[in-house]
Amino acid sequence: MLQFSVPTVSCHHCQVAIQGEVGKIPGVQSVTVDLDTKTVTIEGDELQVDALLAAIDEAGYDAELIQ
Amino acid sequence: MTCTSCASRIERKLNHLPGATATVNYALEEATITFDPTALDTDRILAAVRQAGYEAIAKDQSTVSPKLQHQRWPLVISAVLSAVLLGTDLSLWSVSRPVALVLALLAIVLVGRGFLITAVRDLRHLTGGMDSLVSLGFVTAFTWSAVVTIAHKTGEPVFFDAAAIVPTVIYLGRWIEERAKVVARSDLNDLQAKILGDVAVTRQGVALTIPAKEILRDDLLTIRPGQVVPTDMTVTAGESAVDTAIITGESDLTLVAPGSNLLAGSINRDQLLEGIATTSAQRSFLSQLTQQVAQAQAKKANLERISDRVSRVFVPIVILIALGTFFVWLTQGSAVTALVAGIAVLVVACPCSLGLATPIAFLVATSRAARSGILIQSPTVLEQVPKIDTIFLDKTGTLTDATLSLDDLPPKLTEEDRVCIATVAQSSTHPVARALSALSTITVPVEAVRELPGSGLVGTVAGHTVTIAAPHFFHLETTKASRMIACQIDDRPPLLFSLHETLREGAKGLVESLHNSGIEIIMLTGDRLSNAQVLANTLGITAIRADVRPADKAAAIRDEQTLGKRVAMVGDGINDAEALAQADLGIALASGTDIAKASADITILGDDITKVPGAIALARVTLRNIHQNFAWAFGYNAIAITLAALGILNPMLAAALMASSSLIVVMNALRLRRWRLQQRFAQPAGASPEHPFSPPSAHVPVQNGFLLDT
Repeated sequence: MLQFSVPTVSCHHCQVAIQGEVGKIPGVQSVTVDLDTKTVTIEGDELQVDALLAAIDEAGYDAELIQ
Repeated sequence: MTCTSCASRIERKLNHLPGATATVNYALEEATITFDPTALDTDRILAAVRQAGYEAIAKDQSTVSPKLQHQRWPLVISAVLSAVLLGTDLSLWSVSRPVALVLALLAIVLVGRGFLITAVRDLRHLTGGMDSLVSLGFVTAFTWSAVVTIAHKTGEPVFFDAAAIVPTVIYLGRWIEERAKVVARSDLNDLQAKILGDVAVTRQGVALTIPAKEILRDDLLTIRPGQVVPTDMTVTAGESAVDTAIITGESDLTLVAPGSNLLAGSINRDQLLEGIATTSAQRSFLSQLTQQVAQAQAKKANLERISDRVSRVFVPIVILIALGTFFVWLTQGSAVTALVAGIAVLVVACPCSLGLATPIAFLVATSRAARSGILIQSPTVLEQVPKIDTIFLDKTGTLTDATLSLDDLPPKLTEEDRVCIATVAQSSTHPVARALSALSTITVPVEAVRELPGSGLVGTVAGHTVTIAAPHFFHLETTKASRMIACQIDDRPPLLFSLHETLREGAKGLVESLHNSGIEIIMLTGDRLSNAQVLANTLGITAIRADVRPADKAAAIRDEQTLGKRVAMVGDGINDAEALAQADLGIALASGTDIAKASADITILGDDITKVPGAIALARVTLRNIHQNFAWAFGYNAIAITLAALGILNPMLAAALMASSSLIVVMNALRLRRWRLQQRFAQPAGASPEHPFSPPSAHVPVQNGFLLDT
């Protein structure tokens, strides 16, 4: 499981956008976007941080790995 | 967009597009995009926004083809070049072949370039369109001629004139077509444009003059006589006659005074008015209306999808026919004839009139309908209309309005009683009280009025105690089916009044008109059968579904549908939402500001049921127009391709034919602009003043109660 901080997520649309982009990456099983804590939690096999950061970036957001 | 992150997301996506620079304004809900029209078009931009998860519409549809907007001069120059080359061909004058080569090349660069770019792009995606055919045609003609000229084969003919004229004529056709589309869209744009000027506002005590689109909620507006109301507002000072044609479709002058609400698009005809903006200009009634129409116009009809599919297989087939033509003629021994016939086939086969047939007619019809207060949600609606054989009419609120009227008056009623009852009744807004208040226009001071909870009113007038209540309050038994109300003055026996719902203006005409068009009418109501029966008899409706709870209205419609009927439902907007959605065709009556909520296929603005047959008539006329366009486009292609393959058409004539074919389709569709809604039964013909934005119409034949000056 990887958790990212995405400070600019603020609405349902943001949530859907990130889930859409990250969900395309092979190996990703679930993407949870928490609007209150502004974090994205990704579960899956053999996740690559760079690929996930790139996908969130593609969705239009800057992210930082928390754990 | 629901947050600023949405805006930056869309902006990012748009900036990924080749050659595009975009800025997205969250507050205005607008994206401004600068792009290279040869690399990108509006459709692709809209698709990119959709991919990002949002819906967008092009705001100024007139700039959809910027490449054609300002290109008058290249067209004129290439037309002159083509004329010079044609003159040579007709031996009017003579230009040497190398000069002709340069002139033709110049024409191709000026106007043929666009076709070539599209053709190459299509080729890369392994698709083909109109541009591929045209490009193939003039490139073949030019290449042959250039090779002959450079090789000094003076014995062989050259086709420089065809190489120049083909792209020029087709470009001219597109240019005219593009202008026609702008004209078609101008109906609503005109009105929007009228409110685009500057407006005097007072914002937080400061007087400003700002562009209308920057008006915000709570701004204090000053509207001069003759000015179009720029946003929805409530009048705070001044009295004036206002033209509300945008909501009703008819030019009705309404008197407004402080407290009146005005919708954007109304025109102040008389005196200076002041008012508070109740919404920003961006979210006004008129903006919503324009957006709804634009969204509807962006949707595709099934018919249009058919033509898209046909176009896709059409191009390869035409190329095969052209090749076939070329080889068959070649076996006859003449390479030149074979070439000319092959080029003519490529040029004459135009899938664009086919592609234009539906969208242009729908574009014109929706704009025209919106002008008449009829909103059509998508092109598919038009295809539904002619199939409708049964129509459900909601009773309360659709066939009747919210008011009640008095039937015969009790014989013992004196003039003094009338005044007393009317005076007390006037203190309540209840529909029953309203009906009673019509008993007298004379009013006297009321001493005291109080409500009898759940029962009625009691008041003292000129020393008399007046009690208005339901009959059971006085322990009276009523046997009559209709609604009754009892009025007691002092200790006299109560007087009984019977009431009936007031028919909406035009309800009779609506039923008559539907009967005439052969549609079965069913009255749908939650009311008791006996009440409904009275109304149905008045209107001449024989089928009634009474005692239907609101939730069961949709089921009633489903029942008919299971019998194989195609059902339309007319109801008042939001209350009947489920039934409207269940029906094959839902027609909602909505007051002006409800349009955003209305989910029906057709929404009639301004609650006017007399427009229902109008909407049906327009759909029929439009569909007929589309069918005419299709018939023309198919017929034209079948005949023209045959003639070209037989070697009867030369490439230049083919180009002219092709361009005129598209033009005929466009012109036919533009006839719909002259369609007029005429509410024959709403008011006597000629009683309403002319629509302020329409040219006066004369000598118009009447068709089913609707005027159609074709």
